[in-house]
Amino acid sequence: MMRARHLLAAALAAFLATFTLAPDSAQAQKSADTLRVGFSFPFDTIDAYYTGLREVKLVIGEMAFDTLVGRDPKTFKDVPLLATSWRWIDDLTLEMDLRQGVKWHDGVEFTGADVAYTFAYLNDPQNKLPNREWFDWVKDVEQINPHKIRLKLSRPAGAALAFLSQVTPILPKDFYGPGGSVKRLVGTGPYRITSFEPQKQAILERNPNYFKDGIKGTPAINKVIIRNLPDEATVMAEFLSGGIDWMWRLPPEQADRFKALPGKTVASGGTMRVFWLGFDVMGRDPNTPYKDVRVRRAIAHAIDRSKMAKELVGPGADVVHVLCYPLQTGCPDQSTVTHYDYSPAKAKALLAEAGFPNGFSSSVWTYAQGLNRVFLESIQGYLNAVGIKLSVEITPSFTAFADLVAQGKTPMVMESHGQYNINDVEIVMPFAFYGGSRDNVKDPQVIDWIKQALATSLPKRVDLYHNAAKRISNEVLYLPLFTTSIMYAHTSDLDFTPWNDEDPRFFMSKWK
Amino acid sequence: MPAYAAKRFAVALLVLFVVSVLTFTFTNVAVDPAIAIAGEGATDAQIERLRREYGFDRPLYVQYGEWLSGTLAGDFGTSIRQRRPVLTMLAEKFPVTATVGGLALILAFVVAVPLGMVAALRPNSWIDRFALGFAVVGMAMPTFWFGLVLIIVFGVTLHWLPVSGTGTAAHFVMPSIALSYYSIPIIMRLTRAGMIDVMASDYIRTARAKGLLPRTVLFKHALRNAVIPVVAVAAVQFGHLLAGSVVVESVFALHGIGYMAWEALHAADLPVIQAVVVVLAGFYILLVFLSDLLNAFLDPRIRIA
Repeated sequence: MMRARHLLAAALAAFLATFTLAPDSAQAQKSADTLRVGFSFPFDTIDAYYTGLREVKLVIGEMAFDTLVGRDPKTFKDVPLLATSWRWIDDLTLEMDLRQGVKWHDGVEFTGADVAYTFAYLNDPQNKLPNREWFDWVKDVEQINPHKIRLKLSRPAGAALAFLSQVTPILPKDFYGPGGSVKRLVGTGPYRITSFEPQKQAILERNPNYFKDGIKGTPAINKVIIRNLPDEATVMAEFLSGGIDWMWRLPPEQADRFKALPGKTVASGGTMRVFWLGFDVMGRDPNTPYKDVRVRRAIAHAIDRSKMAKELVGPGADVVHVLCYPLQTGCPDQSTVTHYDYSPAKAKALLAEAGFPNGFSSSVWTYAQGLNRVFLESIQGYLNAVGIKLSVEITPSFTAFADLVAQGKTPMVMESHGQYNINDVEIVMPFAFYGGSRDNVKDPQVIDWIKQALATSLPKRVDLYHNAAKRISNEVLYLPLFTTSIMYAHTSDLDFTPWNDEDPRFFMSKWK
Repeated sequence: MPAYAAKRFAVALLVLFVVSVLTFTFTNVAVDPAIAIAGEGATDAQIERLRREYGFDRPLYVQYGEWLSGTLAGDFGTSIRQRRPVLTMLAEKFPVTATVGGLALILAFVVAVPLGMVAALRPNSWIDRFALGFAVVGMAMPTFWFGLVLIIVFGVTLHWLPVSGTGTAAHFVMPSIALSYYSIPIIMRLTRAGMIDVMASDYIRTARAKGLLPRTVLFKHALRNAVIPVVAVAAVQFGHLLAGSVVVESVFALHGIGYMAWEALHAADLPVIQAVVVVLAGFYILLVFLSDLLNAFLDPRIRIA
């Protein structure tokens, strides 16, 4: 049914492009100083710690709350936010000075006690946090005075600052009530949440007391209404009918049609999401051809990744030669790893050398999400051209896919990782290559480097991650494909900047 | 009659029990909720921790027993995603679903009964063929597709009606139309068949011979008897419409039980999925039970058989 609906979404857009809409509706919300946003993924909760949804974790999370460490959206560097400065006392102690004069939305002053409350809650097993591993290195928060704290670590955590940025919003004391329900829904962020209905909408209003010298700046738009809509087709319909002013994840094939509509603007921006192909390198199937590095290199040469990025994804997408986001700490310079250029001739020669002059048959797996099917069908075509006959298998959900991978039933997979906007390879490397059930490589050398990196402080850990990433690329243990981009559409009277980490930062937008 | 009712009630309870067992088993087998909670990029250790903390590592029968005892006490558990009692969520959403289902049923009757009558009075005429075509299209056309067509025409192009949401009465117009079209064919065909049978019966001939007005014959004598099976079917149709609301609510972003179920399926929120299926199934079983009683009351041959 979903596939049919996507087709209908395309038909809808084509239909609307033909019968152009009234342009006046696009201007309606500027006068009300209200930005209306539509998201298709359901936000069940307003609590960023209990969802993996970017829409809540990052978009609403960054609007309503602040983290200790901020991010410069241009350079991706860590910058002060709730913490104005920090220093490592030793490998297990991070001292931070907290910003003074910051108030919660209910007027209470922000202090180190709030930081202590936040980490105590996050690391209490009773609270069943989905991503406790992101914070469990904080053993304790020592309050030197109300505006100076020391994070006591349980182990060296070289990625500490990356995890303290964006995904670790600081909560006020008594944020949670009995049973984990949200009792005191206030943050320190540039917007305060004035209304929230799960799966329906969130209303945020400008925080007039937000501190002015932070990286987030001073919010310009008075009110932001974020609506939850059932799918992309409805989001497009609402946007085109003037029901919302801003949308993202516009299908690339619709971009030109939307651009032609009066009063509408289309823009593209990068993301931290990296796609890759994985192989049964360890030979869970004894007859797998993927144990042979020549076969994996042949596949690397057979796929025109640059063309895929350009034509299937669109502006902002880029080929990657390492399996991490290039700006992440621990991700090696791409020039230091082997580049496999597009060359079907080299691919065929390598296959012949490996004993497959006529190719072979196999299957490639992924899960239903975004353009996954399109990407796989393109890869199927490229590999077919060098003799590898692939059947494309798509599971309806990520969980079903993950189950199959763990059972070793997937000779080749295509996966992606959005990094949760965490600017350190620690968010992706340990999960993919650390010998777990979904690691179909289990390369002892890579596992050892990652194990050491996890237990080591800066800067040695960076070298260890570099070593691991380089080996992965050079031996094609995994084949990095490309980063992706997303398309945004908004009314032309909105001054909106698409940033490269897929965070819309509405607090930096304004009306023209 | 009491013995018949007791027997049907026992069957209804048994069906509900089987539905609950199957729902609980299939949802737990189909997805690993720990993977869904952990999200992409989770390590084995993280997934295992969540499995343990949420109790998904316990034997299925233990989990089912706990769930059943809670459900019998009116506690459907807590949503994994929203971290709120599922019963509260159901109570919040049910009015929307009942409103759409009720409006759709009324609309289906308003359209289908007159159309079925006219088709029966003029068999094989153009109006009969039109009614047949209307019914075939209704049966063949997927509800979600019809809903999207309505959105394109009346929402996006003409700007007459809102595309999605539940803010005003206007928000319910298109969903009710889309949902009612599912029930119109069966009600119309039943009305037509009933009317043709009744109009050929002896008592109608007698009524006509008595010199009664055609209008009186039609509405007072024929229609009242012809719609008896339709009324019995209506209860079942209402159950169908409630279940069908999963699709319609998803298309129109109506925040009812169906939409909640759809989102819960995506998020592998097992307590919500299980509660919605059991509640909707329970409602449907109750309506079928009432329909059985009504049929038995109207036709004694049923309860004797």
